[in-house]
Amino acid sequence: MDHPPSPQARHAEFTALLEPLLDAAYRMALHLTRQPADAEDLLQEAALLAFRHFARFEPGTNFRAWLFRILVNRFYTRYRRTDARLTYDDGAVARGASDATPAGFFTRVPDPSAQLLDRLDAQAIAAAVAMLPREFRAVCTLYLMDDLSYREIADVLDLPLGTVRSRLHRGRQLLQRALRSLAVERGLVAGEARAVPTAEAPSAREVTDVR
Amino acid sequence: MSADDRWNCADVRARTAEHLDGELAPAEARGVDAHLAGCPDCRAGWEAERRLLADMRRRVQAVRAPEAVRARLRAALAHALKEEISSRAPHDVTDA
Repeated sequence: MDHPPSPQARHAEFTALLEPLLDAAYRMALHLTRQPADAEDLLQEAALLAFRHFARFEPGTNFRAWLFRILVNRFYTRYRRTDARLTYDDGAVARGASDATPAGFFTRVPDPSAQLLDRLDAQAIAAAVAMLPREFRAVCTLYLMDDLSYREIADVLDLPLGTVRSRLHRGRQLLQRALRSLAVERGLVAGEARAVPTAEAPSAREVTDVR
Repeated sequence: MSADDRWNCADVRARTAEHLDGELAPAEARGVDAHLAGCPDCRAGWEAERRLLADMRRRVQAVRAPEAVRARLRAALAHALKEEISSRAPHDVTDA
């Protein structure tokens, strides 16, 4: 007869799965919360929650997706009230970013895009991601920080695949705009040119999560 | 006219990112590839996008969890384990 593993064995198994994911989980937490102290709290809360519920994890399934789902859910639970006054409408995103809208990060950037990126360091890129409205931030963070597939992102965020596609499509445009704003703010590029000549992006203050 | 001919520059540019992500259906990917092979402008845009995405990922993925954060997390998990063990310990029979 099989005995359930001892707490020590479960702890060892859990930490063996967790350790290789710590950097990615920390990046995720940092880009969601925007503050190192908050990121540490979020990471720790999510890890403890995952440890306490580790018995529910099905061995052989995607531990990374499972852990990240807990982390993202914890983030939404913890920070939902902060932005509760704001509204978000996926339909508006779809209307603003049609299939005909170039979806790349740097498509149609007036100045050569490589030059723009060359002038921005990793911190600036992280800052631009952090400027994104929350739901775009989650999708773009998973996309950029951890190379997750669209399906995995959908699983982590518990969203339909089509929603992930539309948010990534729009998120890339918003990120492009945020990067350009940062570059202009820092005097790295001239400020008169527009980053995205297509549909207007909503500002961070106009958009948030309704999950 | 083959199916690939239906892809024009605007369609291809709208699909560049998804193609780079390997998220296009095989038939769509073939159509985009066929267009890229014959369109230097779109090909240059695709290459630039590919390099930029890789560069951006390389930079943001360089962020690591600080050692102090790791240490505190390990301590918190060790503490949670201790608590679990003590909560499972048999009760002292004299308490009964």
